[in-house]
Amino acid sequence: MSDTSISDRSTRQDRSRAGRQKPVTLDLPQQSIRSDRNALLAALIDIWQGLSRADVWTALAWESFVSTYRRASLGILWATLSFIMFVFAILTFRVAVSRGELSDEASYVIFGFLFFQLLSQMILSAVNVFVTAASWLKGTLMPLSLFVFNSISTNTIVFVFNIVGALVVLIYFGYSPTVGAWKVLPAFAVTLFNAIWVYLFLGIVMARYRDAAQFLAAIMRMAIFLTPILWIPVPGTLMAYVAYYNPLTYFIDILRVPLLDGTFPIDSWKTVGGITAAGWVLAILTFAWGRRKVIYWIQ
Amino acid sequence: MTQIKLENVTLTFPTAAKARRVGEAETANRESRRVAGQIDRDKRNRLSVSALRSVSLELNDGDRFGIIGSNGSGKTTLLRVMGGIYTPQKGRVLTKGRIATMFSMGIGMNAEATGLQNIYLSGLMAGANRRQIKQVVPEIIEFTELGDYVHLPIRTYSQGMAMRLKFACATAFRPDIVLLDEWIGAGDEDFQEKAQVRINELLEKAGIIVIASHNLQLIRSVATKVIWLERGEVRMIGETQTVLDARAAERKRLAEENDGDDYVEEPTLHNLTTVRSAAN
Repeated sequence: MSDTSISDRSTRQDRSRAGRQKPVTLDLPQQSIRSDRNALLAALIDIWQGLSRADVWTALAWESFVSTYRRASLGILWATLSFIMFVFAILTFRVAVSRGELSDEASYVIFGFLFFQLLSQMILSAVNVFVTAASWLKGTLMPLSLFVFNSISTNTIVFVFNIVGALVVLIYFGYSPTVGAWKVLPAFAVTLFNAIWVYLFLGIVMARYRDAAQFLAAIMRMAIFLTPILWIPVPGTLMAYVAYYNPLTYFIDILRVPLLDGTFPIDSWKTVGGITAAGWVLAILTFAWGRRKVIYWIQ
Repeated sequence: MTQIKLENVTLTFPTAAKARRVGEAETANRESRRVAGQIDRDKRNRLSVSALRSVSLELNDGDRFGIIGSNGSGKTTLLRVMGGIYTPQKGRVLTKGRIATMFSMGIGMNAEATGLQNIYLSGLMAGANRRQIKQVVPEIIEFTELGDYVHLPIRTYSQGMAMRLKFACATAFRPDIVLLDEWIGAGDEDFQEKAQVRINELLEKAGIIVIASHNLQLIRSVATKVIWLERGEVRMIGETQTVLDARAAERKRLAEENDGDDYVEEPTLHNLTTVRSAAN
């Protein structure tokens, strides 16, 4: 796709036809507002309506992705290049610390970092998802969740470009996928499903409590050291405890293990299942509570 | 059927601020009586600004509605309540029909994207699909007279160009309800004429137009009904001429009480633009 993909290439002809001015009739969907709807029901409707307007959020997502790189001559290639650069940096670091043989652990580190990057970017953008959407929210009536899906897809696009970078480095280190590598797909789907509740929950809470947002940003800076990416948790050590209480560990695990040895990590899947259920309940309640108030908090 | 119905709408803006001393809210209220909403203090000493107080109104097909009142009287808030942007803490808002809004310039536009991309974005937001948007693109380009500028990012546009684009996008997707906030000031005469024609076209298809403005001449020429807000309360609602006359009479009476200190001639389109350019 080029960066004009949301526009339309046949405008020139359209303009020449404009002189004729035949009235265009559009058949657009109906819209109505009911401010007295039950908050929980309204929240669920919001999520459904946001999800169903995929044409809007994909367009917005692609637009914000390309606009990040718009004035750079290498353009969106930077999404891949910066990933490769960073992976080489952390691999060098890993070798320097462990004095081990690099190629054994390279794929562990690369996949770990690839997925960690996805998770941490999503969490960081979840924190201000509604704050950054303020200029849209103040002008048009839109389901709030639409901006959640928008941001999730922007991060997914970046992730896809990171995969390309990861593949380049993996091939360099002689990685070959196992037969069970497809098992990463359900893990990825579940991760995206979790991303929705994380956005809804953090988006609302962090718009209201800005100190919490700063706190979380500080935590996320440390997370790269607290998540088993650069190290392997050895049972009984302090780091094993850290990994145990870090929810990111389990998501990284279900994503990384299939790619390394082609199996399902059952225990991590169980934990992720619990987090998913509890998270969604928490998020829907929070979203129902704050959905109508958030516009006052982001002024 | 298109309708806007507000029942006892009361809206308060919470602020993060706390009253710093006893009586602060009261002092602020006394000093800024003319230009701001009422400041209230709750039990925990937190301040909030009361922007609308039990406003009720009903608008139906074909209504052209004007909102007048001084700065801080709640005009913009009322528009945003109608547009579903703000949900009031008390009372009900019911609307039927697709709403297009035109509030301040930066809102709902992406400065880095080209004019054409913004047309597509606003079309998608209005619920149109790409095929439908493609149909109206020529119409929008013609209306805005943007020509090849439509392929440039809108951060390169003059304010007038951006406004034309915004107005064209807001009205192109056949909305049933159009909400306009002080939009006409930045455009030249040519644009204002075109905008009037466009608004009349919209009204022929029946629908509701709401304009908030300080420009009473504009209100007089567009609106059939007017609401006069004062500190978030409905001072008067009714036929345009009746409300405007009552407000003029009140301003004159106040001016006489104050020995003419406060009295400013009712702004016309001409002296409003002069005042605005002087302020810039």
